[in-house]
Amino acid sequence: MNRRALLILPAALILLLLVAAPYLNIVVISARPTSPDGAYGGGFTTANYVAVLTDAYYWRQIGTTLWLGLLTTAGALLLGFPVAWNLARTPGRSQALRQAIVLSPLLVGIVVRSYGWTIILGNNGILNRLARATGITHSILPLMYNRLGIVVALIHVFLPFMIMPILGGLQNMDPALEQAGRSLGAAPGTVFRRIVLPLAMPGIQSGCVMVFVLSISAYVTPVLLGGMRVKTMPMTVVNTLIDSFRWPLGAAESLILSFLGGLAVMVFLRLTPMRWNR
Amino acid sequence: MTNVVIEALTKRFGAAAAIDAFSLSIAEGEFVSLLGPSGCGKSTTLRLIAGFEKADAGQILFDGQDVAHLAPEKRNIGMVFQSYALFPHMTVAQNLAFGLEMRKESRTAIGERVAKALAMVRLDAEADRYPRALSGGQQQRVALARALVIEPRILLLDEPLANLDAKLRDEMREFIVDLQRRVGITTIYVTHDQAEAMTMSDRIVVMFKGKVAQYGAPRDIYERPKGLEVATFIGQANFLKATVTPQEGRLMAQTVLGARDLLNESGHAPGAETSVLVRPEALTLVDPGEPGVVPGVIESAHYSGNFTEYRLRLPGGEMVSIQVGGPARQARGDAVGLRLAPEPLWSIELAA
Amino acid sequence: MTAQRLNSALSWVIYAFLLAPILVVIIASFNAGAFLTFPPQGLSFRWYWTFLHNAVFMRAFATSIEIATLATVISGVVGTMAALFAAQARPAIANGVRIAMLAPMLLPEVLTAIGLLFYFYALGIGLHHGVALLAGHVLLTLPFIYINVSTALKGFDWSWQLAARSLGAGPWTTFFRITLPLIKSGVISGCLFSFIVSFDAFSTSFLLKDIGTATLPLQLFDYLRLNFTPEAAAVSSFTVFATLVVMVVTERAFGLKIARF
Repeated sequence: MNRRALLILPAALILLLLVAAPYLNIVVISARPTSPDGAYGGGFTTANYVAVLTDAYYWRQIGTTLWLGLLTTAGALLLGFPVAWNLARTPGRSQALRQAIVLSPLLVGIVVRSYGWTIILGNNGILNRLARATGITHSILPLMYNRLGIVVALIHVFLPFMIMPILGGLQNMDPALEQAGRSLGAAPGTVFRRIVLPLAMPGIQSGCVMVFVLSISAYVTPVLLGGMRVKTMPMTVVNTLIDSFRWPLGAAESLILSFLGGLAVMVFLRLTPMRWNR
Repeated sequence: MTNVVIEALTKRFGAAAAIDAFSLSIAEGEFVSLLGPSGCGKSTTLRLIAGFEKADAGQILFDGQDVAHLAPEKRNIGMVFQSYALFPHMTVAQNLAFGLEMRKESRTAIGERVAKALAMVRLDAEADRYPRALSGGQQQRVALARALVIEPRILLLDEPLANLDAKLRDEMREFIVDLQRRVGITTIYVTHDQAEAMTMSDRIVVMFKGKVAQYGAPRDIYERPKGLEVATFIGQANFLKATVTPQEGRLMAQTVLGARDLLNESGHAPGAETSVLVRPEALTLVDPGEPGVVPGVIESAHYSGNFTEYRLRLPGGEMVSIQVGGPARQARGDAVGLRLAPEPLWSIELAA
Repeated sequence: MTAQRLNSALSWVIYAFLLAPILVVIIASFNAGAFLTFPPQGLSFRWYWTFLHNAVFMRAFATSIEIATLATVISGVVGTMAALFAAQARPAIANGVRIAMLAPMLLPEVLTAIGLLFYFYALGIGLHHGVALLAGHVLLTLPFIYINVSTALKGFDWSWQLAARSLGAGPWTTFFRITLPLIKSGVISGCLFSFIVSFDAFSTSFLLKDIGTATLPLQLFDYLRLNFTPEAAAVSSFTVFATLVVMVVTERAFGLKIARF
């Protein structure tokens, strides 16, 4: 082993001992029986998986979680693409400011951001007060404690993860490509549809995958904005682990969610192939 | 086939004029190069012709039709970019088909014309490959074919050879000229490489600081440059002091290397002092003992393989460069003889 | 052109959307009233005063600083070493290292934290002494160091190192006098990001905290589930301001460069 390899040794140890081993351990524990006098017992069982997979209650929750993830991803894409496009077209200094705004949510804790949304969307929040003051409505607009509030806040929380990869892709694009399209007779709209959009696809793809994965495993935002009235899988997993102390079941729950999330990502990638890009 | 007339074209970026009252007329089927150092406005001119920039003043006419208000996609031009700008998400054939699809050609017509164009650039075998799998020279040919397959009115080339290595560049140079002659399309070629412009063009526009310094055939530009800037930008140049002397009704330039006819006679007075252009190849190195030669002393010798470049000091103290084929036979300090070819000389000061 | 302008206007609406919840929290924190009302009932620092005298919040704040500092130091050293290795490795290996180093960021945070929870119990350490918590925070921050240092290394000319060695500098001298100064901006912005990420982390801290300890986001979350006074806004704003101050100071002192991912 040469001396340069020593540079990677600490990182390799950390990743091996603190990522690979614990993940393997989750798989093992998910197949352990529950034990009354410890976190889990000896031997192996499929009971935890069966318990989750045969219970309609879980399926509803998995459905809710994946659906919220999908809505969040779609919303983030809808809002993120115009911003990335705008950023890519903005020159130097003013781009730096706009980019700082885009990244600013990342520098503020997730609890704070979710809290900000409760102030805006709450029953006595800014929007509801505004609606009543202006006479748009006299009842309370249900903006929070439901899926709408969760999705709005989740979009906000993860929007930078959509914008940055798309921006990266657009910035890497040779500006001559658009001109080439125009010189060949394509109007600006056609250039956008036939050239810009397909070339932005790799960025869109990774942005979508990141936002989807992050939003189906989000915990704080759904709890604060959903007020426990909307149940998602991460909440259930935390309940099972912390409150009920049933580790094997919690492990199975989280693995099933991750597996289904991974499956959704695979389907998405299969549906958006890019043969040219490698 | 289209002629192009540009009249008093002006483009300002902020306060500075990138193109300043630029006028030019290009005949049908002509190959014209815009030549100049970087930042002289040659690329901006091309972008104005293509429609990617809007002119502040002036006209661009294709066959007498003003295209200033036409969007780039309405101008029916073919353009080859320095980066080639091949669409990376389309195969070679799809890249070629794009322009034809925009023209709403039928599927079969597109197939035929794409196949023909691919054959023209000898890339039939690469039709279904993606651009990134091609070599630089192949990408270059795809870009050419894509620009030509739509049968545009004019072909615009923006430093298309800049990203190729030297050997391939020579090859592509011939390829482009040959193709242009065969298709017979009016072509505007932007380059900063004088050798490219000289060998490829029918006429060359030499540009400095947004202005046309000279417009003419390669030979004119080389032999009769308008001013010092053009003379030094194109090829190697020696300048000798000369006195204008009348002789048998004509005007001659009297230099340290002898008297020769003056090419640009008009616009000066006998007895005037001027400066004449002497290209290195007009000079021959000979034995100092030969009759009628001017003596010189070698100041430096630089061997370059197929020739050696000498710097010589002449009797009056003037310095000239000369290129002699083969390895260095003379060394610093050697006394040599110098002979100037009998051709007429071009006065630089008068040319301005 | 009009499409461009429309898009620009739309973008500003989205920028407003991005800033809204943060601005709202800051405005709310200066509310003089006892409840979260909009518009605020007069301006005051009273809730900041309350927060600064709240021992529970202050203890949580100290814990957060402590963990963020430790995690950043460990990740900073380990991540920088890994980035240096990858920058000199063959492309295939470098790519593998990159994926592995970014994995903790791409894997679901909750799942990683659960993994660590089980694992440290299996090791017999459990959540005592904050070892598991620190491990979780190191994993959270490691990718940020790696990304930033790698970005700084992109334009790095390895012949600079060779030049230093040829001039008689040993490997350590070369590292501290040549390599480190040249990648300094990447290391610093990486550490800054890492500190902020660790300071703001929730799920990892939530699942891995030792009984009786709490970081500031955990304390805030607990508080928010039961209370709606502007004190929470003051705590939140305080963290936002602290982040801003740290960033501005770093920017002024070192010239911060934010890496893209």
